Amino acid sequence: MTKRIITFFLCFYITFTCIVTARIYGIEDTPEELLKAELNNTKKSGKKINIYIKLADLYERSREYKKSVDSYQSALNLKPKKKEQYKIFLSLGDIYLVEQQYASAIESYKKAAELYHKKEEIRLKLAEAFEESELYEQALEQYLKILKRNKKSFQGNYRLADLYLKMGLNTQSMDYFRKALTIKPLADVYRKISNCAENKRDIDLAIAMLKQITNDEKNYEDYMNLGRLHEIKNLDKEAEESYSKAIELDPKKVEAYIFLGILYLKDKKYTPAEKLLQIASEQNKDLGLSYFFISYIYYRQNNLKMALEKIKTAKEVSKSEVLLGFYKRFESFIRSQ
Amino acid sequence: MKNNLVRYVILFSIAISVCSTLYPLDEESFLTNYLWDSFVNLKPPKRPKIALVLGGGGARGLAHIGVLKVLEEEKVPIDIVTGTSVGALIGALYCSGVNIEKIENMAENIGWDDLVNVSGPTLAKLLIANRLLSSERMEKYLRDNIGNLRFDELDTKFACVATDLVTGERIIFREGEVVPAARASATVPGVFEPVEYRHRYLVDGGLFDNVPCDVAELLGADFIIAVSVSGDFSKNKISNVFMVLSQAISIQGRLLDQESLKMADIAIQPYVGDISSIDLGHSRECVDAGILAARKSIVKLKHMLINKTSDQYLFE
Repeated sequence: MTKRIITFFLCFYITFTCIVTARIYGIEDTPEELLKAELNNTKKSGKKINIYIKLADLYERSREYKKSVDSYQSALNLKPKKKEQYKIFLSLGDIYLVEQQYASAIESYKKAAELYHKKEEIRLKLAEAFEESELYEQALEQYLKILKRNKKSFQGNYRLADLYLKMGLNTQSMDYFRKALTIKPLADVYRKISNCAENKRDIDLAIAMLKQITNDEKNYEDYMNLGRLHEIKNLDKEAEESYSKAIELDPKKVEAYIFLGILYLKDKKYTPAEKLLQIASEQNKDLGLSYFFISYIYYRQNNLKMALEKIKTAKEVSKSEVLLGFYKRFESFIRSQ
Repeated sequence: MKNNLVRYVILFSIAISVCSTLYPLDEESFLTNYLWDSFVNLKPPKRPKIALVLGGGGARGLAHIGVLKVLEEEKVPIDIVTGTSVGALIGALYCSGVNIEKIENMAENIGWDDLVNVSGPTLAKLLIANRLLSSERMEKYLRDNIGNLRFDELDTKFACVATDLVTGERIIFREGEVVPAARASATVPGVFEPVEYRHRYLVDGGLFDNVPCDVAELLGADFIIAVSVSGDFSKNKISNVFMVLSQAISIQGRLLDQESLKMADIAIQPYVGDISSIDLGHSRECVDAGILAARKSIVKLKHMLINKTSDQYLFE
């Protein structure tokens, strides 16, 4: 009796260990294999469609797009229901878009749109595919269709505004961004309106829009843009504040040091200018610009030896013929003094 | 569709160029713009005297407006303007102080009936009885915008070119009233009656000098920006008397253009080859083509001008 009990427990233990080991080392059927096995075992077309869709989804997640497309096509061959067809065409469109096969993406999205033409989601996808293939007029048409059905569609207004911005139609762009703003006052919308305003040379509005977001959100690029806009308006003090804020937010980025350094340089504040440009050169040793401007500061302070030293460094790290040309000119100018 | 795409590409590239120096930091653009800021604050003789030469080309010449827009946006100082035909018309408007937005609006709204009587009977007389059209409407249109300004009263130095139909001489207008001079420069032979001026019968300057770069040099230019709007005349559909004459002028003008452009420091050639010289319905495409061509050349232009400026003035 005892022997039988021991044998039983031994067998149980071995089996249990084998199963655990198999699981640990992945010696088991993969989801793909399981689905394929399920596919072979089922004869109902409805169930097969579901399995093909799951397989396609699996392949899509692992970026095996060709297999994904094949699975979706197999599902389509089994004449799925309207809802399933829509999902399939939508997913196919997404895959083709990722693969930059824009014509196929448009075709798939169009088929999805034929099934549910009122859905905003598919119109947005179609517009995106048109935009990617630079068929801007067709993209416009889709956005306008969305807005005809629903004037308060945030995506419709926002994306249409963005397209107009791309096309350089700043007035129309501004109109739609403003509408989007009334629906969802997101920081990105303020930024876009600021961009439109700057394109239209309405710098005051551009500044006002950025100030709306910098009160709540602290973003390096916003402060840099604010600084730049203040400089355009010759508001040097405000520009200084904005660049300083940018430095505070991200001390490792080099642009703010350069812009602020040059702002001080313009005001002949050579000491703080030099300090900032030195930091910029330490942050990025390959930035010829910082050495150039430091050289310029030394020149203005009549320290020609150091000016020459720095411009030599600028030349060494220079990445382009144009820059090298400017640096060489400045070098020979210093030598001629 | 293609023209709209061109427009979108143009305007998109304008939009990104506004912020292109910022992220990531484009050193070349940044330094160019920094030195450019020094340059634009200089006056001759500390910087080169810059001339803008606007070539003839009929309706295609509306591209000059696009070029002017970009040059203004980029603060390129223009000290002298010379022009032939449509270049003379636009040059005259610009130099008399009409702002570029207004000129652009005018271009979008202009029709041939603003410049000439295109009624049925008048055209019939042209075709059947060889009675040339009068360009008095053109003169009125110009006067409504420029008034009685004289050359020496203009904001910017200006000259335009016409041709003496009798002697074949080139006539350079640098003095007197601007409007009759510009009108004479744009009087297409065979279509408009020659303009009688100081005992001469004057027609379009394009017969002799479609892109008057040498006139710019004569006026003292150190640096010449030439804008040529020659058409691709091989694509023209020649279906009537006007087109025959227009084609003849285009062919001749093109050959002369190529010689004149050699004198320019930089030539801007908007792609308007597809547009007929008599078709005023493509003003938007022409202006956009001008913007695109100018945008393509602007960096090179800045570099050239910076390089032509003495270090002493640039780095001080």
